[in-house]
Amino acid sequence: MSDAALSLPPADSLFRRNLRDFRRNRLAMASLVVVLVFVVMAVAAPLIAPQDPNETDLFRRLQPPGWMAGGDWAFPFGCDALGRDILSRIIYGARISIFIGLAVIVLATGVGIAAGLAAGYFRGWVDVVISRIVDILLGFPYLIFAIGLMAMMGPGLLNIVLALAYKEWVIPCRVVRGETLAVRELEYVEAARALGAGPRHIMGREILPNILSPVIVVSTIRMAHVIILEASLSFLGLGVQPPTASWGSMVSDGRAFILEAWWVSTFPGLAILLLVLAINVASQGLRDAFDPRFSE
Amino acid sequence: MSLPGFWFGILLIMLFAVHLQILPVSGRIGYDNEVAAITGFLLIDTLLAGDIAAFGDTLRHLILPAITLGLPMTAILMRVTRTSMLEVLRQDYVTFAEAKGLPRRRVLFRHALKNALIPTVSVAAIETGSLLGGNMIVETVFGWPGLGRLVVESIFLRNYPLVQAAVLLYAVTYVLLNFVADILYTVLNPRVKL
Repeated sequence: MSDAALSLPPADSLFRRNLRDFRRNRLAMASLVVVLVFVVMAVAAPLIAPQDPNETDLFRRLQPPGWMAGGDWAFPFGCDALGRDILSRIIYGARISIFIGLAVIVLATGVGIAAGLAAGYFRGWVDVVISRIVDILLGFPYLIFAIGLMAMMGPGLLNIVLALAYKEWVIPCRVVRGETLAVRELEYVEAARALGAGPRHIMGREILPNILSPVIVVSTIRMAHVIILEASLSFLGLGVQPPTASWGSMVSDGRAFILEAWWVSTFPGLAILLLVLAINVASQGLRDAFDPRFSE
Repeated sequence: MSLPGFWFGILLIMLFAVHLQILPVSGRIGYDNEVAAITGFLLIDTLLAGDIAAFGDTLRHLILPAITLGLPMTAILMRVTRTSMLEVLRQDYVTFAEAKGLPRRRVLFRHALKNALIPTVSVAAIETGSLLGGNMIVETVFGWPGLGRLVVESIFLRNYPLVQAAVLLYAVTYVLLNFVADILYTVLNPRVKL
């Protein structure tokens, strides 16, 4: 008898089963690949970009894409009003979108988990205070809130992250609070308490690991929203300042030339659409696989 | 739902205004159709002036901004209504209505849709917030002299009191709209009392 026949099948944990469900979802896997391509593009931008994204050349002003008359394949998506290569700017713009998306989500999820755990675990006045703050923030339209904050703080990379995170944290917070309220009454939490564990241990070691998957699912879904919001802020001129390439401001730059040069705003917009769509589809796949409420 | 609104608006302009040339690029009314301002609402003013051509021109200027602002919300509301409709159709009273032999259309619209619309109304109220924010973008794209563009422009001019007042105005509008939605709620679902 061979060794392979003797060994037991690997333990089929819930996590592994969920992961297998996710892998079976072809559309979600394809979307994940698209997201990864964008991430690689962002990380390796200086190696991939064919041109310097900020190098201007007025002789190439509004040069059409490579396949059109007057185009040059060295500048496949054409050039903008200052003769900068659009493809290179899109590749560098991915850095801004993905960095802001990740930074906002990480910051907001961290704050949201801490506040949600505290509200759900301690209840009482802690819960009242945190829940009221959440209610107030939810009562504000998102983009208007962010625009107001940007107006106060001034533009800049760090300020965008803060302006979006100020409101974004309420979403993971509500999820965590709800889950904590349900989990804190379970036997294993009671067992930990009986063993003399303090609130920090119970919240961090007992409750948190068990409520993490819905939080991660919500965070990935929200990341798509954050990327669109950042692009909207940049489009309005409140985001990253020129000459740094950002997809939203590239679309805005092209607006003045839509009569003669459609490519200037079309391609960066397409990049936003593709990345956000991919994140949305992938995160819905994650939700279907990892959130028990959605599994059939 | 993954479409950024500002880009969608620009695409619409490229297709309908630049390429097909059947709709205007931006603005509220053509220069040759302007009428005396009475209420400030161009649709009403043009009718009061009896100028049908100007009325039509105003309408044509409205089409693209309205689609840009409304289509993402349509997608969201469609999804919410679909989910809630699927849930309602599983209820006993729907089965009962079908068993009574009522026509399918009557069951769908009278029995199921009326109940399925309850979450749609509350989501619509919440989403008006994104409409208010979206206005800033749509007004910028289509060159409308509205509150949204005023806010954006005053940010660049560092006119902060104006920004603060506008944000407050937006917030109050939002709360009022949600209040209206709550009242609508009681009409749709008499079990809920204010």
